[in-house]
Amino acid sequence: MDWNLLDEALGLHHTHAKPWPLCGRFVLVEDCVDTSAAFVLHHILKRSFSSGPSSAVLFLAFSHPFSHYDRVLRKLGCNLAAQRDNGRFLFLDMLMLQCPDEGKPNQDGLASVFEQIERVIAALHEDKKFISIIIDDISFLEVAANGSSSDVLNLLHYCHTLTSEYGCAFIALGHKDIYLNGDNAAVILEMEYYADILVRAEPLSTGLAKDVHGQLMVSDKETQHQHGISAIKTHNFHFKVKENGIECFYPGTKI
Amino acid sequence: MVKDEMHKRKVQDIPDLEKRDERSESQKPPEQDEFYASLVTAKAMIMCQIQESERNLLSSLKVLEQNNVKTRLLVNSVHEEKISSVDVVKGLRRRAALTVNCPICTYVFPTKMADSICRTLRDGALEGELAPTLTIKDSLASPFGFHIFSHVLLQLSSHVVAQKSQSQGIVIVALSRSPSSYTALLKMNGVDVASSNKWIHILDCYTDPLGWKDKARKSVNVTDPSHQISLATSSYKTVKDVDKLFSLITELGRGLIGENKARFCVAIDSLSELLRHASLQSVASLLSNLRSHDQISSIFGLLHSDLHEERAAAVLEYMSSMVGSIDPYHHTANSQRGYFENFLSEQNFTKGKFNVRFKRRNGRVRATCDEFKVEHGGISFASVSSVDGTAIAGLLPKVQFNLQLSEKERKDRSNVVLPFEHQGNGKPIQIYDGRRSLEESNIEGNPISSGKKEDSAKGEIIYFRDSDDEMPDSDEDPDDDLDI
Repeated sequence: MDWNLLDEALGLHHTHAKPWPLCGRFVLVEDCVDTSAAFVLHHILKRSFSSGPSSAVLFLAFSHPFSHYDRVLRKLGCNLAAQRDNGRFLFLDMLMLQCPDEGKPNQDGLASVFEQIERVIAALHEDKKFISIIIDDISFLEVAANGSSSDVLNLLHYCHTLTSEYGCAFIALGHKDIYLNGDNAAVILEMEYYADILVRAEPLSTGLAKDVHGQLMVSDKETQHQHGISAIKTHNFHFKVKENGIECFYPGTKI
Repeated sequence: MVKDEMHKRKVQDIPDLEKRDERSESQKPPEQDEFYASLVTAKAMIMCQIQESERNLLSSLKVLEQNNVKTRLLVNSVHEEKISSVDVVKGLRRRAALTVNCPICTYVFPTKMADSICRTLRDGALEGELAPTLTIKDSLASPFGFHIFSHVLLQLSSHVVAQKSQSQGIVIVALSRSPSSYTALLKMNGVDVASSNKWIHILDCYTDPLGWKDKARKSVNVTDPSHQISLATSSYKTVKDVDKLFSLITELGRGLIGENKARFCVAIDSLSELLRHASLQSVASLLSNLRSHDQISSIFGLLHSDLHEERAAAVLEYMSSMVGSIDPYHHTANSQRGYFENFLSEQNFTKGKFNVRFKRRNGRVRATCDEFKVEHGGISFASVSSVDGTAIAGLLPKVQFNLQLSEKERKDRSNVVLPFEHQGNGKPIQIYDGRRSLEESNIEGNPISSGKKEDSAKGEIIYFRDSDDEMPDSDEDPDDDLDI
C-alpha cells in the first residue's frame, strides 16, 4: 500500500504493532468554511476498511445521508453498501435527530444517543476488534442538542470513554470558525484538549492557488506509549483533493 | 505640669535612645562604624574552606548564622564544583551578600523547582495549618500539564512507597483519564501495581460522570468489559454533586490509612472538568474543605487555564500554596501558529517553561522559572538561570577592574585596621543587634549584656534590626527547600 503524508502523520503506516493504529485514540478534525476537511474523514474511513477483516466502523451522520458517503467512497474505491451488508459499516442516520426541547437541559436526548452507540459497540465488540466511531459533524450534533454545547461535550466525553473501554478509535469533525469570538469559544478548546490527534485544515496561508487546495496540520499528542510519555509531534503539509483520493506534499515539492 | 509629666514619660519610654546619644557624645565613634555594624549583621560574607565533609560545612553555616554578631567581613572563595550537593552551594550563595562567579568555572545547577515542589508535597501539612496545595496550569499553546501532573504523581508515589512522605496513601480523582491509563502509567514506571492497593485508590469520575451508562446498563444489562483494572477503583456517577464527592474522597482516604493520625494525599487530574460540571463556588469549597481536612497531607490538581475565565483561575490560585504554570518555550504566545506560517514540515514540541510561584506561610512569595524537556520515557527539568549564568559569565572578562589581588595587595589589606577595631582597649567590640548571641544566652536574664559588663556607666550600643529580611526571627527554616 502506498502511504501518503497524511497516513504517516496519523501513524497509519505503523501497521506492524496493531492493524488499526488509531485504536484507543481520539482524532479531532477541524476545518473552516474556506477549507473543508470532510476528505480526511473519507480517507480514514477508506483506510479503516482496508486495514483488515476485523475492523468495523460506526458512522453517525448528522450532515449527509448514506447515499452521499456511498458515492464519495465509491470514487475512492470502497463499496460502502457492500460493507454495510456484511456488517462492517454501521450507519446511524441522525439527520432528523432533534432532542426534546422543553427549556431544560436535554441530557436525556443525547444520553439516549450514547446508549444507542454503546449498544452497537458492545454488540460489535464480540467479533470485531478494531472499531472506529466517526461523527460527521459536531456542529450539527450541537444543533440537534438545541445548541447546548455542554451536552455535546458530555457526549464527546462518553464517546472518549469508549476508546479506553473497548479500544475504539473515535474520529469527529468540527468547525473551528463557528466558535471564534463567541461566548462558547472554550468549547472548541475543550475538544482540542480531549483530542489525542488534532488534524486542522486551513486555506493556504499564502493565498489561493490552483494546484494546492489548502494546508493540513496534524499534531499528535502521544502522551503514553510503551516507553512512557513523549513529545508532541506536529506535521505540516499541503494537500490537493482529487476525485479518487488526495495528494499530500511538502510545500514547494510539487512540480 | 502635664507637659512636664509627658516629657518625663517620653524619656522613660525611650531610654535606649537617650543612652545611645550619651554614648555617642562621650565616645564619638566614626560614622562608618554604624555602616560596618549593619554590614556585619547583614552577615555579609562567610569564609569557608571546603576541606572536610559538606555536612560539616552546612552546620558551620548555621552556627555562623546564629553567631553572626561576631562575624567579620570576609571574602569567601569557594570551588563550587568540588561540592557535590547543589543545595550546599545554594545555601552558601543565599548567605552571601554578593556572589561573583568565576568566569572560567561556571557552576550549573542541575536542579530545579519541580523537585522542591515534590518535596513540599511530600513533607505535607503541619499540625494546625492548611495542607499544601499545588495547581498545575497549562494551556493549549503548551499542553504539557498532564506530563507534569504524572511526574509529580510518580515522584510522590515513590516517596509513599519508600515511606518517606507524610502521606501514606494517594487518592486519585480521575476525571480526564481512565483508571486503566493510571495503571499503565504506574506499571511503566516500575511501580508494583499488585501491592499498590494498600496505598493508592482511584476515584473513577471518568468512566461514567453523569450516570448515562448506569442507566443504559440497568435497562439492557450490558456486561462490564473493563475487567483488567488492577488498581483499586471506585466509580462515581454524579460528578455534579461536589459535596458528595468530598465525603467520598475522605472516605476512600480513610480506607487507605485507617482511622489513625496518618494522612493521605489527593490528586485531581482535571479541575477544568470539575468546573465544567459544577459551579466555581462548589469547586472552591471542595478544595478548601480538602485543604482544611486534618487527614489530608497535600493536594495537587491540573487546570487548563484557557478554558476558564481569568477569575476562575485566580480563585483556584488563591487557594493553592504553589502554582506551577506551563508556558511555551518560545516567547511568542502564538508559537504554534508561528511555526505553521514558517512552515516547518515536521516539528516536535518537547520543551516548555515551568513557572512556579511558592507562597510561604508568612506571605512571602517566591517565583522561579525552570525549563523542562519531555524526553523518551520522562520529563526533565533544568533551571533557566544556569543558561543565563553562562551568558553573564561570558561578559565578565570585559569588566574594567581587576578581581584578583596580588600578594602585596593581600598583605597590605591584612594590615589595615578596620575602624571599629582601633577603638577601645583591644578587645573585640560586640554589637548588639536585637538578638542574643550564643555567649550572651549563657548569661541569663541580662538581655543587654556585653556593653554593660564592661562599663555600665558608659552605656551601650543598642542596635535594632530593622529590615534584614525576616531571617533570624522567622519561624521558618530558610533552608527548608534544600535537601541535605
